[in-house]
Amino acid sequence: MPIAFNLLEEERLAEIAKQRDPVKITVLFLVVCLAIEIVWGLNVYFKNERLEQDVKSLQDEKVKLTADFNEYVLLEKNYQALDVYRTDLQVVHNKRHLMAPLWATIKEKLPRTYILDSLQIQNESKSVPNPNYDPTKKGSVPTLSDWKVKCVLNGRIFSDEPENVVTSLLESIGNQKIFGDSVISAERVSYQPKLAATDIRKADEAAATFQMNVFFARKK
Amino acid sequence: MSATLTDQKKKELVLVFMLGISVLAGLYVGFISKYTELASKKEDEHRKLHKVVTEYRSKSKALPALRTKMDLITQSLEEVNSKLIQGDVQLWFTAEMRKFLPNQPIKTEDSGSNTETAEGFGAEVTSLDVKACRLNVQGNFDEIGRFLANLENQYPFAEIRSVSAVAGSDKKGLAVNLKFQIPNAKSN
Repeated sequence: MPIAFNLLEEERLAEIAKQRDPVKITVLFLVVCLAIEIVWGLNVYFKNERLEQDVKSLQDEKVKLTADFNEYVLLEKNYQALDVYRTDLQVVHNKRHLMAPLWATIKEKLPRTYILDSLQIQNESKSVPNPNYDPTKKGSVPTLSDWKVKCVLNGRIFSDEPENVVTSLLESIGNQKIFGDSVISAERVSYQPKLAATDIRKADEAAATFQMNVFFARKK
Repeated sequence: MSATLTDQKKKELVLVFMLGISVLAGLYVGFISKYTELASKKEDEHRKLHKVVTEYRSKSKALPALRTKMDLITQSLEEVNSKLIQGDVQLWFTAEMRKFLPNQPIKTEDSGSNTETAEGFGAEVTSLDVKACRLNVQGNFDEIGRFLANLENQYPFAEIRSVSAVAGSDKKGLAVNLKFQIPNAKSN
């Protein structure tokens, strides 16, 4: 068999072999990987730089705002304390129980024939926090009041029929409504019938003595 | 293909591959991982700082409004405080009664105040420091009634807790001992 040289074919095969050179392919692959890695690295680097600048500018802003912030925190704390104080004062003012109207009511109820020797008025009211208090609801009150005032009256009755005066006095006080939703009631404590007057100078002794308790309270 | 590779090519391939991998790994370890970690820390710091600065900004923006509110409440409380005990209760009581009593339709006896803890409305449901004061006066029933009304109007935060009246020594009027409670003013 003759040996044939086809140089053109060999050259073509060599060119193909060169193009398929694994070393070259590997180099190309590694160069591509390197390029990707460099892009990635640069991205991370610039991101880091940008964050550093942002952090620095935020720190500068924080320093600038610190004085205002501290003042706000202090004022807010003081304001809250004053607001609680103001609310407490409103509670005291709005819910306090006045004595002057009771004093006038007592006088109005006593007959002219009753001479008062002593009077003790004791405000026994107590307030408790309202468990259902809701500041967001209109009309909701922070406290519930149990209003109760006890009056102890000691006096003398100058009348020909002191028993009738006592009866009508207790009936007139009765258990009736006075101002608002308040009621007044009375109870007999002691009664000493009228003594026979033998001497006008002993008229005081001739009076019937009568002690009663009068209660003012909120209607249950 | 490997069958067609010469030994020389194989060596070159391994060398190139090892060299490339080393470069890639070196770049990653020496640069990317370091900066990635750094960026992660910076991101955390940035997030926290941003939150703080946002709060600072909002508080700073709201500061003028709060100052106005504070001025208003302070002004309103200055007036209220003048109706409350200021400073020492005994001194306050003496000074106030010196101003208040001469214009009243009653005579005064020895009066005084004490610092006992007050009971009753307000004292147990508020944080106020409430003190009790005692006063002795003389007058007829109507005069005492007007005096009680004046006292309650003059001191809108005072509550009279007890009144004890007996016939006066001259048998014309009543000698009255009364106890009222009033809160201490808080300083701004």
